[in-house]
Amino acid sequence: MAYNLQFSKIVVQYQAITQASVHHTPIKPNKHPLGIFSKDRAYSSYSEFLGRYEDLLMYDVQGVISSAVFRNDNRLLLASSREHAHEVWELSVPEKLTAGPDAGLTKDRDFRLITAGYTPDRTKEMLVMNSKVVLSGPKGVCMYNIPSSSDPTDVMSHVCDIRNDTVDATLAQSESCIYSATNVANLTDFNFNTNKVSLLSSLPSQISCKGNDDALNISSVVYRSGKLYIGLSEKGITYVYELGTGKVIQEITASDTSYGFWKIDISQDEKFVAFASSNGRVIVYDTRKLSEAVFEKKKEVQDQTISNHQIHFSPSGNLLSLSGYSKLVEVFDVSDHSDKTEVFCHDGHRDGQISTILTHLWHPSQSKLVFSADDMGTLQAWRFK
Amino acid sequence: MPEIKVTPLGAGQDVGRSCILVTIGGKNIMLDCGMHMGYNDDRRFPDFSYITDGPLTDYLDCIIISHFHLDHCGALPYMTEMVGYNGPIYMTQPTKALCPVLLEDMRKVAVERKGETNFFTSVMIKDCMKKVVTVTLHETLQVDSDLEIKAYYAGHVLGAAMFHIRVGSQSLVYTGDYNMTPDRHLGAAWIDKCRPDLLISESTYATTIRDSKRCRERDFLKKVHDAVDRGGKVLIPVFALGRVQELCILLDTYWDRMNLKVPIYFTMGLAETANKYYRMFITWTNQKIRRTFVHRNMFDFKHIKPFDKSYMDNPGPMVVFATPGMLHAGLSLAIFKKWASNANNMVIMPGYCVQGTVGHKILNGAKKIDFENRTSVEVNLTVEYMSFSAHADAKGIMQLIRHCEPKNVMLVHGENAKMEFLKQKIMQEFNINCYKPGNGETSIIPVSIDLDVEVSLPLLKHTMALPTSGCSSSSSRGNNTEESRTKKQKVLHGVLIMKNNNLRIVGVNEAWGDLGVTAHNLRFTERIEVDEPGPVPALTSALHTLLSQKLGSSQVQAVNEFQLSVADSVFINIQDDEPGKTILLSWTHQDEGLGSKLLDIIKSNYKKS
Repeated sequence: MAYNLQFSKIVVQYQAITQASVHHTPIKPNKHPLGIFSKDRAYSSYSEFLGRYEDLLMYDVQGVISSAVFRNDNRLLLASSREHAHEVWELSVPEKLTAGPDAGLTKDRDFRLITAGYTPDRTKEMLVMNSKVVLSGPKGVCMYNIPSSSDPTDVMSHVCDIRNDTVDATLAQSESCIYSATNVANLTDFNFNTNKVSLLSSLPSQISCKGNDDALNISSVVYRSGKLYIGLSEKGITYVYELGTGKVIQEITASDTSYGFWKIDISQDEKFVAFASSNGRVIVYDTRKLSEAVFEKKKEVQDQTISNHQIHFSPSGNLLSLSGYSKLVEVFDVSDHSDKTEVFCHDGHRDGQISTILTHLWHPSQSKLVFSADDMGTLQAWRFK
Repeated sequence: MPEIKVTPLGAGQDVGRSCILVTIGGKNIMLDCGMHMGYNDDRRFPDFSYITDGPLTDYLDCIIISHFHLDHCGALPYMTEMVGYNGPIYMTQPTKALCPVLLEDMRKVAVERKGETNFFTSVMIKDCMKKVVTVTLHETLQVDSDLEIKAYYAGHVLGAAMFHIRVGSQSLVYTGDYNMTPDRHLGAAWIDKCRPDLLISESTYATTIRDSKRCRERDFLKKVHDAVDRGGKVLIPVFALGRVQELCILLDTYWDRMNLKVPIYFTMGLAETANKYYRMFITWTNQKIRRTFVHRNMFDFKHIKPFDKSYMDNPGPMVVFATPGMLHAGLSLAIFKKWASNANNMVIMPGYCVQGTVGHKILNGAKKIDFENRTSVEVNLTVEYMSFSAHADAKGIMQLIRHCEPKNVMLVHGENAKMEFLKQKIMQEFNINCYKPGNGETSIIPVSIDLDVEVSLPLLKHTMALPTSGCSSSSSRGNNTEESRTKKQKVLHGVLIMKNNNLRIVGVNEAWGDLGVTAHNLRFTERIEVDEPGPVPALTSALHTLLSQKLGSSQVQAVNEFQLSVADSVFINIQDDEPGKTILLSWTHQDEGLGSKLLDIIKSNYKKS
């Protein structure tokens, strides 16, 4: 009996081996057609990976992208740094992405460099106003000119310094002004028409200062129809400042009052305000009903001192995107109260050496089209289904 | 100042007609001789009248063709047979084998399909190829006593090469089209650190940041998969030696992973041609293909099988690779005619199509194609374009510059007229000049001649031991010279000897020896007659005192009663010359200064009456 049992075991093993050798071809990760997959991925995820995207394009930018902003539907500005060389590029968005899914035959799937310039330092944030780009970096805030197609040169040149009393200020823009700040006490506006910089001096007095000046450091400023939403960096508090009257009309506090590095975003229609902190808390409120959060999430974060986390609302307003906590960019639907699971998770940044996503942004008009950049110099453009 | 002159030829700013004239070290060379595929008239050829009207043989030392693409060799038969050139044409072996094939194909399309009359004939193509001299990779070829060329692997297509040209001490590298990243059947471009005076690089994609190959492949696979999923047939017209091998490997692996059962075919003509040429030029492909060839035929795939014409009518989905690539004749056109009307089907064009071909028409959106025999076809199938061509982009160009370390860079054939930023970037990163001439414009690149000179060690040591220039007083010798030796410049005095083609700087004394010349010394003697009575020793002693006062006692020595020496090199003899004395002052030409000074002192103190 024991003998038989052993024999049958051997038979079973033999079958398993032969089966394996017939169907299993060794996976060589580098030679695989979609090489980005590691050895342990199962076959079914290939079609799954392909199937989840309408479009997926990847670019090696050869530099670390510190900031990105769309000038319009067809032009993307990137700030890229390589050791001591810091550049700002204006790229044409490939037709394949802007033409939309029903466009048919589009040959162009590459970015082309239209204009570019050198900056003395790494750029923290950028905004475009007409044919000028405003950059904030370690030495302050300055303005560069973007040459037009009729200009003989394609080099962006320095126009003027807007201020030099801030380090890595956050920026916001209205129709005619650029706002910059690192602290409640130094929030200024730069008027494009008059070229004048003025301090929003009525602001600090309206915000009570508990503790030292650092408590009033600002991490984000967002402009929405005549108002500035000012997000403090150390606490989950946002002040709504009305520009016309110079008054703080509202104070929005996240239920989590722990310390961390907080960032905010406001949806285009001002329906939602979202908070994200470096300790992994993500909370979204409906601005008409601030008593309870419509969406909450706790991300697992190894390093509580991260500062490149980003939270954005899609241009259409309902989708919330999150990055900086891992190699993923996650998209959630905040208007859907029932389902707390994500709408999409982009995991295309898979290279083993990547540690985080540095920045991500939504295309201004194409729906579900997002661009994300990691710290190894890869820029990906993805449109999810 | 010696210089290299470069002029790209042809009219207009368009990409696609590579032809560059170079004058280097007195030699005139033409790099590539391409045809512009977008024009039908004379604009498609480079403007050879720039060189001269009439035959070019006397004006060119040689022509170099980088690879067989028509935008690099398309105008060659026209130039050699219709304009006239009988000198040597250099290209690699695969290029020589494949050029005539493509030229003949193009000629057929032009003459038979487009009805052109003044086009080069098949005989002209053959005559042209008779003038070709083949070049092997890394082999230095002497074109004549001064001009030598060397080919390097460029990737891109089978047989593509980058050329290093040297005349005397001037050199340049022409890249043609190249690719810095290896792909599935070709390697990547490689060149050694040759440090040419000028690097001429194609800049078609210089300002492009290309979508990764994997994403383009993913899209290709997705398209094919979607089409066969809905029961459609996919036609992929290919050129036998283009990307077909890549695409086959790609599809075969994908089919395997996804366990797909839809049949994939290749036409026999395609397989034969590809096998023939790859086998012939196996050393030009990459390791993987070579290894494959040892075991089996290149077209032995798991899921891809030979096609038979009758399969065209089989129901159900399938994928077919067929030649020719532009759908202008043959099997691919026949299949297209059968499948075009079904909206479920798809045709994927993998590259450029010449005007006049069906491929070109459908890529431009034609919905109906008419044929000569009064038949026509409705184009309802999906037309896709997928370019897998391997070109160096911005990153690749910078890599190449970084690697071969040229002293100047020139970018040719870029679409973008404005490349200020790229020029600045190259200048900033590599500290070299970047030129970008338009067609017909001449760029003049100054070339500095570097001569290697040996310096003799004793001379070097001697110079290093000298006090630094500018330090005149001995008191500053103390601390300063130690540290200032490294920072201050020293002037090296020596003799430059050129012997047996090398140069040496040696000290003067060594030079005498080296040259076998005896050292000559020049000595001046001045006779001064003075009225000094008394014995000679008295005058000697008086002079000694005088000179000691003026120059310092350490400098003046009394050798004996009638001789003094100053600074051990100037000698003063006093002779008795009734009634007065004669002072003989003698110095070598190195002591001119001291000698003149002494002369002045003596003369001013002892006046002749």
